[in-house]
Amino acid sequence: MSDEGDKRQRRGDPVAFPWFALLLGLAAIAFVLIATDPRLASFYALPDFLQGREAHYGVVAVLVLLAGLDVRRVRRRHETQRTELQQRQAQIDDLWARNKQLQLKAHTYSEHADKLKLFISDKLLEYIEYDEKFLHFKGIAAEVRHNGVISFDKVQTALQRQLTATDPASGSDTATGTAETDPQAALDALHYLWDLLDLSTAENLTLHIGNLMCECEEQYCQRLLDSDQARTLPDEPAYPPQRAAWRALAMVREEPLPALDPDTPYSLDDGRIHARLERCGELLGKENHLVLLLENLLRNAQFYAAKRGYSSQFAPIALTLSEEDGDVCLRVYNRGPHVREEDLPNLFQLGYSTRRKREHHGRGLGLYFVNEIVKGYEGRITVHNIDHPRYRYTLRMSLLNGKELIESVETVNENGRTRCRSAEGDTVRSREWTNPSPVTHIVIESDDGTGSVVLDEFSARGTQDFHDPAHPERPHWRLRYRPKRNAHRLEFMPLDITGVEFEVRLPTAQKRVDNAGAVIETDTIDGDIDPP
Amino acid sequence: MATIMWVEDQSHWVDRFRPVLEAAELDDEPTRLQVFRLAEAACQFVRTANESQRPDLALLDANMKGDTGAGFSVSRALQRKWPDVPILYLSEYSGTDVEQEALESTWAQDFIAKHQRNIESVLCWRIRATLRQARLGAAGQTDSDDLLKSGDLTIDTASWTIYWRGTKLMNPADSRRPLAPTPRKILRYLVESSPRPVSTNRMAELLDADPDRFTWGGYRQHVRILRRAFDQAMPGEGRFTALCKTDQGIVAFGDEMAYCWKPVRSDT
Repeated sequence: MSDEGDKRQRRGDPVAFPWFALLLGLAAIAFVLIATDPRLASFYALPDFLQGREAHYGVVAVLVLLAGLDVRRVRRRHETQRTELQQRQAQIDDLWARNKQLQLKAHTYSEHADKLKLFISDKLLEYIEYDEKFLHFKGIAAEVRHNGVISFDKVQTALQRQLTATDPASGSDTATGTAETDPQAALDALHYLWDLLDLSTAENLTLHIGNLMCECEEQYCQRLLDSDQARTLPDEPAYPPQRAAWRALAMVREEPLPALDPDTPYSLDDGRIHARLERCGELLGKENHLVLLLENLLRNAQFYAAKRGYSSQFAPIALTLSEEDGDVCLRVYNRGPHVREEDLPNLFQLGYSTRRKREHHGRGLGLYFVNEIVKGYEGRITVHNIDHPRYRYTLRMSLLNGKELIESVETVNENGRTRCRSAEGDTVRSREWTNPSPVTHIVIESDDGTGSVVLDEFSARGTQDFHDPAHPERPHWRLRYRPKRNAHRLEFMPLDITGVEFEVRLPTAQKRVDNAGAVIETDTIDGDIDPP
Repeated sequence: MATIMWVEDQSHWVDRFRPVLEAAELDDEPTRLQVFRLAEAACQFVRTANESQRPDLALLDANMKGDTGAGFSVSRALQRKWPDVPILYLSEYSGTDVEQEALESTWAQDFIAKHQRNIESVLCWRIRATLRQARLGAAGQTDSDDLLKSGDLTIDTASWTIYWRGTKLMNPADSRRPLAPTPRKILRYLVESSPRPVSTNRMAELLDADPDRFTWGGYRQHVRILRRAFDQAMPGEGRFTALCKTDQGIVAFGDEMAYCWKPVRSDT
């Protein structure tokens, strides 16, 4: 709509009075009166051609025409006004609708604003509460340190005096001793408790351990430099990780552990935990920190290995300790469910847990502590979901009658289950062979790069199980031999090893010292000074 | 005789460590303790004391009577009066913001946790090390059998600590970490042999290292680490390395795969 039209519409068209028709009508009436009265006609000297009948009809016709035109004009005007009224009504309706809509919106937004206000105030209260809680716990931590440390010191002193008073030769080994009877075990437990409290009440665990590492490194260097040990160090700056791993194992088991010989590798397989602890280079810092790290990983493994639907033909938890490239390498495996991809980035966050809330455990602290300790050591921690890969095995069976049989077995993963592919192409749980003669030995070759395995300790009686010796921590297969007269049965069953493995790598004390500052790059200045 | 000013509000620790510290000959002589139970009393003493009452070392508790800043106020008073008195904290707040503040804001040399094993030995060991460092860093230090000096370089052969112009050499990759043992040994042997250079084979002998494993490349790498450690101890960027280009400090000797220590002129 143009501006003019818009203005006109807003102003409204004026209703024009039919002046022209009215005046003409009056003139026509006057003419008719004059024309019909001879006296008036003669007085006004009306021309002759107006006194004729045709003139009368003409005037009447003009009047009728004008009346018609006026009627038409009025009708059109009426139409226009009705249209305008309708438009006005439509505008009013539209305005009302808009008004209602705006009111509705305002209402909705005010509701949203109220909700938002409530939400913000709730959150604010939550945060204030959280802040208060944080300050409260900080205060508690400070109180624990300030007053608890004296109690700790008193108990520690009393236990140390008791230890020095008793003959060291009669003191029991902490491996088998309990805190009730053995002062050394009680002292170790007390130190572990205090180190745990010390760590958990530290502001920054990583920095705290990092500072401790620097102090220990200073003393370790001192020990290396003072080869004659002329200056005795106040405390041992390094410890064997094998002992820490052994202590962590002892903590998660109910039965006492066989004693540890620090000069030999330590092996354990009780059906629940498989452990292989090699001798490794020393680590700097406090042994209890590594014990705490491993205790958390092992308890985590115990929780997930016990999940329904994850039964295992071998020990469902494995702990291995070895030294690789100057790093102490710890691996904790559990035959539990895989860690979901979306959980992986948050796994080590404070307060994050994949366990259900209603369960007692799962405060999201364990793995957070683990990660902080690893960072303090300047180490690395990785999580791997373990799958059962496809392998092809070749079994060479030598029988007592001199015959030799060669069988090939291919393992496949079918709907998350490990199975064998039969000669016909079907998948079966296991492969079986029955021979008329006893088996003397079997050579099993695998294409997984571990080479061949020889099994030759077959007994003439009773069912015998042999697990994959190439992977003792999670055997890939089980061979069952059932000797029977004229029907000596062999069963090869691939085992499901799917699970999760945490791998921790910590630099040994020697590696830290050897690599201290080794990242110095060759630059032009040195190039200028030194011969190439 | 070392005089230690000790500020500690809890009787337990005073009773526990007083006999230990008084019995320990921290600088090969008996130790004298000045114990203050209140931070205010310690501050007042510092303000009013004369030079003859100046302690050799201050041992402070951080949190006293619920005030986490009590130890810091004593630290500030000490800094104003005797800036070169080494300050050590003996506190249960290691790993907290108290430790961070003590080390970053109050010029403390060390922060010793009360709750550690063998605390008496640790305490004596660290006080002894601090007193020794303070003596070596002080001007007009007395010569000792344990000191190897060459210009501004001092090597404490007893503790294998190296000071360059009073600053202890640390790991160039991380100044919180100590300098590795091999570079320390190399520097000592270079200084002892100065002005004669030490070849790779000779250095391997001195280090009691396998000559097949101790190569020229390794020798050069350790020297680089040393140069960076000196750089770190000097204000400015790469100043010691630049000095080495002017035939001072640790310099390469011809093409015989050898290095030599040449004392640095004091005016540089």
